[in-house]
Amino acid sequence: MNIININTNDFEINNENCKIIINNDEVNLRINGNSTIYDFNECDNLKLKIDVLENSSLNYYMFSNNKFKNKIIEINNYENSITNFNYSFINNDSCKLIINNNITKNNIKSNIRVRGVALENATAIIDSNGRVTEKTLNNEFNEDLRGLNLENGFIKINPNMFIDSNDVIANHNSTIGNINKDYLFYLNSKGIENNAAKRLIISGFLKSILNSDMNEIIDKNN
Amino acid sequence: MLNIKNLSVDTEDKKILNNLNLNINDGEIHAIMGPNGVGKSTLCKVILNDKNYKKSGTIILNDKDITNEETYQIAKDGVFLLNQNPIELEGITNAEMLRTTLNAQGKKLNIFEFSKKAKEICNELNIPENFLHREINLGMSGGEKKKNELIHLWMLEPSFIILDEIDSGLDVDALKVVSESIMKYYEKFKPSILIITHHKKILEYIKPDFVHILKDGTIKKSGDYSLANYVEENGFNNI
Repeated sequence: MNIININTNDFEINNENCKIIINNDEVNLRINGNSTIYDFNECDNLKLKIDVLENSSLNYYMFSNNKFKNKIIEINNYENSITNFNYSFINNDSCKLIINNNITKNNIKSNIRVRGVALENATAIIDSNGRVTEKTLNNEFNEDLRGLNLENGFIKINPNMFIDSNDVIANHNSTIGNINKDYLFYLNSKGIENNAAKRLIISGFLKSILNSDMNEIIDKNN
Repeated sequence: MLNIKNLSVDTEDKKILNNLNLNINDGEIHAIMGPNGVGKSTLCKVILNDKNYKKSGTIILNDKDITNEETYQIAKDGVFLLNQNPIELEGITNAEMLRTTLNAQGKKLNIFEFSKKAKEICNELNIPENFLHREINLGMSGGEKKKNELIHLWMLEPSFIILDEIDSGLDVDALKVVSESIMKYYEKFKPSILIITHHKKILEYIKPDFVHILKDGTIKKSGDYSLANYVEENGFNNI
């Protein structure tokens, strides 16, 4: 896996399977070809714009377990593109994540998945805004947003879809909850004590939308 | 092995079990049969001290009072529950869970020992080895879930097994495979087994020493295997 340092505001990625290190608070990424990106950015504040260009596909995996404050992610999907954007985070301070996903062309498949864990007294707000503009054709857009509250943590999710086209398949779901007691009982019944079981459940929740390469890196680092 | 004395279980508005008594000795196989809704599955969960239920009475495992023991400790003491619809856990692989459990039980296997043992079990059960790296029961059919749980059984080597309606959702072939694996385990480790079921079919493969009929929250009748035949022919109403 290549490691790419991003030190400029504008950066183009062509057919890469890479880990990126973002060193700026504001970055415009252009995705050309088929790429898989692993992003462990530790930015407090980040404004990330991703253009998935014509006939391109992107699997983007972002993970953070630090205190970010504000992240604004804008995704622009071009003709015949496929985007899978996955972000898992665990925060013990208040934060806001805004994802603006724009479908303004045709034959696009775009999936947004987020798993957020709010710890201690953190309040995490997730605004996901999907826009499919009028007269666009044959698009598919899925939004899957889930939050897990721990201790006094609090997650609020605003799943918004603004659909102005008749030719689109659009799904969205969002759930917020605490640790599922049935999951806990199941793991307890295998002989795993409460704290270890909770750690497994939280880690499973965060890793469920990431791929095995990303999870391997997370396991090594945490 | 397991001795249940005067066990009563209530929910907010209903008495589920009422002064139930049951004694299972080392290496014995007991079956509890009963119609729907009489508390058979509740009994399984209560043995493992599921805190969703209020109970009175005592449950003794190997001379230790486990009535109010933590669930994980009861499992560590050797109790294993295989239930009718094993839960699906996203993001947690079988291998991850098993390694955590074995470490917690002090049965530390290094990665090579773990991998060797797990692969042997998969081959024995005719399950692809990649099951180990799949998320627990996620997206599996009813039969695959039961086989997946059998990997856990063989890896964890419990001394008391509770089979809660595992025949539900299994076709005849899958039921045979699952039952044969449990019997192989029985032959090797001689655990005590408690089978909960509506039907006699599973008892043809895992033949019990004792059969009990659970009705109105308590054991109404006990007998040998012939009692299962009687129920199959006459139903529960005549008990």
